[in-house]
Amino acid sequence: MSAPLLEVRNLVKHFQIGRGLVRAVEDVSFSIEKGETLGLVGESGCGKTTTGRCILQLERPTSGEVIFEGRELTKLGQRDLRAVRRKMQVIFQDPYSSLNPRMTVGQIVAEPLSVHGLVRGAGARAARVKDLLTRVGLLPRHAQRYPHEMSGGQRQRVGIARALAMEPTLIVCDEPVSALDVSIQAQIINLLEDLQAEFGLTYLFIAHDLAVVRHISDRVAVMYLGKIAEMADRKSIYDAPRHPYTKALLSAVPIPDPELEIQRERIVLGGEVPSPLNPPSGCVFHPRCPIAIERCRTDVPLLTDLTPGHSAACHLASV
Amino acid sequence: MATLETFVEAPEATSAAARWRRAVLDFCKQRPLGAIGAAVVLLNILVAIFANLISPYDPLATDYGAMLAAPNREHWLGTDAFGRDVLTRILYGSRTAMLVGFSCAFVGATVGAVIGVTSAYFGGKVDLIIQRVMDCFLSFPLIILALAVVAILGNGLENVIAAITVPMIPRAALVARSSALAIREMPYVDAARAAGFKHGRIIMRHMLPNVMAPYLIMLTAFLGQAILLEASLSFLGLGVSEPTAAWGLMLRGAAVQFAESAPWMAVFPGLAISLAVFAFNLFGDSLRDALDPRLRTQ
Amino acid sequence: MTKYIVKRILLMIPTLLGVAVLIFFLMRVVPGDIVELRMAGEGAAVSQESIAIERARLGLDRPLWQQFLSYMGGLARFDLGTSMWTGAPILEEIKLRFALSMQLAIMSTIIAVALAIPLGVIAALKQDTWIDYVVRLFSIAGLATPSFWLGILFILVLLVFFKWLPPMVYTPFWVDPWQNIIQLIWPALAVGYRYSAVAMRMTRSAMLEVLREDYIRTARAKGLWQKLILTRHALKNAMLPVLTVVALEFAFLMGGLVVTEQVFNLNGLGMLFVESVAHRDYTLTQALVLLVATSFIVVNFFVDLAYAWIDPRIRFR
Repeated sequence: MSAPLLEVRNLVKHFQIGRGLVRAVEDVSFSIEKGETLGLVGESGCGKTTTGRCILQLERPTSGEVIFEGRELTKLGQRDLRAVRRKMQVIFQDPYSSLNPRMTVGQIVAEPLSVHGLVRGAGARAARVKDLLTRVGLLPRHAQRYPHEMSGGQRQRVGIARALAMEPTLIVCDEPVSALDVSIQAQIINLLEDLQAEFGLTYLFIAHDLAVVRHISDRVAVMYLGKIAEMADRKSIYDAPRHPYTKALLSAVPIPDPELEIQRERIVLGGEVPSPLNPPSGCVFHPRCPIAIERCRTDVPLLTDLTPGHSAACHLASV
Repeated sequence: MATLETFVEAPEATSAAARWRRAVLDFCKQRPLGAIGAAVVLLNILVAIFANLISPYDPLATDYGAMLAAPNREHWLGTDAFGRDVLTRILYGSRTAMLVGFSCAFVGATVGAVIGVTSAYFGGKVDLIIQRVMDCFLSFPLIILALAVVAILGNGLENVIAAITVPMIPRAALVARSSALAIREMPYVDAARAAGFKHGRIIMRHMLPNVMAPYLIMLTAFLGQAILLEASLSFLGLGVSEPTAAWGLMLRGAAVQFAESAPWMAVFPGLAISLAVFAFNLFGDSLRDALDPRLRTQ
Repeated sequence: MTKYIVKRILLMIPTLLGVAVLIFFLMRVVPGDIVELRMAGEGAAVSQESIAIERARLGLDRPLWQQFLSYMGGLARFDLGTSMWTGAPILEEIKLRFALSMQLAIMSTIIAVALAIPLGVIAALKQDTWIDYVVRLFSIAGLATPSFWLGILFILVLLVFFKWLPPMVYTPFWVDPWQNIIQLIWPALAVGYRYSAVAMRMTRSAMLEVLREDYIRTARAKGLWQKLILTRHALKNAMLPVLTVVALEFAFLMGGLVVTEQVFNLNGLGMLFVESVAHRDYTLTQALVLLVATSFIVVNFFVDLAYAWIDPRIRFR
C-alpha cells in the first residue's frame, strides 16, 4: 500500500477575533488515498471550510501537519509552495464571486497555463482552453464570454475547467453545488465523477448536506464544532452510523417516499449550535446530545476505531 | 458533452463596442448635467490640442501699442499689461491646465491605487506601516504639501506637476485601499492564490482592475483639483513661470493693481478656471452616481 | 470613553513624530546645496567662504544625525529655529501674524457654517424644487471657483461700483473692531464660500437621509409641529456627517488662507508661508509646514473625540 496522497495530522486553527479566540478546527486528522473521494460534512460553522483552507495553505494552520505527496506543506516557503500549489486545486462554493469579473472565461482558464508554463504559445493555449471547456460541458465559444454573461451552473463549470487546467492530483471541492439549483447540482456532481474517473483525481468534497455527499464519496467524515465526530466508508455511515450527531443528521435527510417519510422516527436536536468562541467542555456535542451521560460533560472523547475504517468520537459508541 | 443546460443560456453577449455606445447614450439621457460637463471637458481638451490653430495671435507676442486695451474688434477679450491678447492666452492656458490636470491626476491616481491595493492585499504589518506613512502625508493640506515640494524643487512646469502629484498619491491610496479590502475577501483572489500566482500578478491582474469604479471617480475628482491647484500655485508665482500662458498666472499680473483700469484681465482667466473645474466636477459627480449610487453622499 | 481617548492619543503620537521626521528629511532632499541655492539664487556671485560660514551658522555642516537630534530637541522646547531670510527667531515671526490668520480662519468658518447649514436644510426640505436646484448650483459653483479669484472679484466690484478699497493696514479687533471687520470680511467671505460648498451638500444629503428615517415619520404622524421635528430630531442627527466635513475641510481652510491673504495683501501666516517658499527660507518653510500639519492632526483628534461623544456606537468598536 503506497502512502496516502494527503495526510492531515492534528490540524488546529484558531482565529483571534478581538478578545476572543475562535477555535475553528480542533485536532483534526484524516488521510485520503489517491483516487479516493472523502466527503467532509457538517453544519455551517463546524470548521469544514477552514479545514479545506488550511490544507490549501490559504490559511496557515495554528499547529498540526499537512502532508501532500509526501511533502510537509506548513514548512514550505512561498516559492516551494507555489510549485506544489499546481497539484492541489480548489473549487469554490459561490459561482458568482469565484471568477474575476474583468476577465473572459478564456483568459481565466488560460492564465494558469501560461503562468505555470504548461502550454507554450498563444495558439496552443487557446486550443487547450477549448479542449478544457468542452470537457466540462461548455461550448468553445464560451471562451469569449464574461462571467456575468453566464448562469451559475455554467460559471461553476468554468471554475472546474480552471482547476483542471493545472492538471492537479487533488481537488478540494468547497461546497461546489450548494449555491446551485437542485437540477443543476446533479449535473455538476456527475461531471465531477466523470472527471475523476478520466483523470484519476482525488477529491476532498466539503458539504453541509449528507444527501449530496452520498453519491460521490467513498468515505465520509462528519464534523461538529471543529472536531471530527465520525469517519467511515460510505456504506457504514449511511447504514450504520454510530455517533448520535451523525444519526441526527441522517434523520434530517428527507426520504423521497412520502409514506415512509411520515412513518420514520426523526431525531430532533434541541438547542442551538454553541459558538466556537466558547465551546462546551468535554464532548462538544453533549449539550444537544439525546443520549449524553455525566462523563460526556467532563471527558473529551477521542476518535477511536470501532471497526477497521470506521471511527467515532463518542463515549457511548462502542456500546 | 453538451448538456441540457448549455442550451438554456444566459443572455447573449454583445460586442464591447456596442456595450460602450449603449452606456454613453444612457448616461447622456439619464444625467444631462453630467453630459454637459463631459461636453465642456471635451471642449477644453480640443481647445488645448488645437490652440495654435484657432488662436488669433501668438500668446507671447507683445504689443506695446495696445497695452491694457478694453475688449474690442481686434482683441475680443482685451489685452494685458504687455499688450498680449487675452483670448489667445486663455486658449493656450487651456493647454497648461489640461496638461497639468491630466498628468497629475493620472499619475497620482494610478500610483496611489497601486499603493493602496498592495497595502490591502498584504494586510498585517505591511498594511499598518503603509497606512501610517500615508497618514503622515495626509496631515498636510494639498496646497501646503505642493508648496513644500516647490520649495524643494523650484518652480517651472515639470516641478509643478511633481508638486501637485505628490499630495494626490496618499489620497488615492486611501480610497483604493478601502475598496481593495473588500476585494481581497473574494473567492477569485483566493483562487489566484491557490493557483500559485505571484503577488504582483494577483495585485495587478485580479485586484486593481476590480477597483475601476472608485478609480475613475477619484480620477475625475483629481482632475478638477489639479487644475485648481495649478492655478493657485501659478497665481502665487510659485507655479508655472512667465511668459507661459496659464490661467492662474494671468490673474497674478492682474491682481489689485489693474483691477480698476482693466477688469477684463481679472475676469476672464478666472472664468476659464471656474468653468473648467465646474465641468470636471459635474461630470465626475454624475459618473459617480452612475457607477455606484451607494457612494452618493453629496 | 477614557479608553477611547487614550487609544486616539496613542495613535496620534506616531503620526506627529512621522510628520516631524518627514519634514526634516523633506527639507534635506533639496537637490544641490540649499545655502548655495539661496545665496546664489539672489543673482549675486557668492564666494565659497561665505557659503561655508553660512552653513556653519545654520548648523548644516554637522552630521545628519546630529542635525536631527538638535531639530527634535528644538521642537521639544518649542524652539523653531531662526528664519534664513530675516534672521529673526521663527517663533516671533509666527506670533506677529498669528492673530490675523486665526481671526480670518474663525470668521471664514462662521460664514461657512452660517451658509451651509441653513441652505442645506432648506434644500433638503424643498427637494427637487427650484430652490433645491439653486442651492445645489450654488454649492457646485463654490467648489469650482478659486477663492483667490473670488477675492479679486470682490475687490473689483468694490472699486468699480463703490470706489472703495478695504484698508491695507491691519488693525486688531480689540483696537478698532469696525476697521478690523471691514478689512477681513471680504477674504473671509471668499474663503468661507468655498468652505461652505462641501458642507452645504453634506448637510443636504444628511438631512435627506434623516428625514426619510422612520422615527421622523413617527414624529410627523404624532402631529408634532414641523419646525419642532426639524430642530430637535433631524438636525441633531444630521450634524454628525456635517461635523466631519467641517473638520476635514478645515485642511482646505488653511490652504485657502494661503492664497487669499496674498490677494488682499494681508500679512498673515499664509503670506509668510508663500514668502518663505519664494525666498527659499528653508527653516521657516519647515517650521510652518510642521505647524500646519500638527494643527491638522490635533483638530482631527478633537473631531474624533467629538464624534465618539455624539455617537456612542463609535466608542465601543
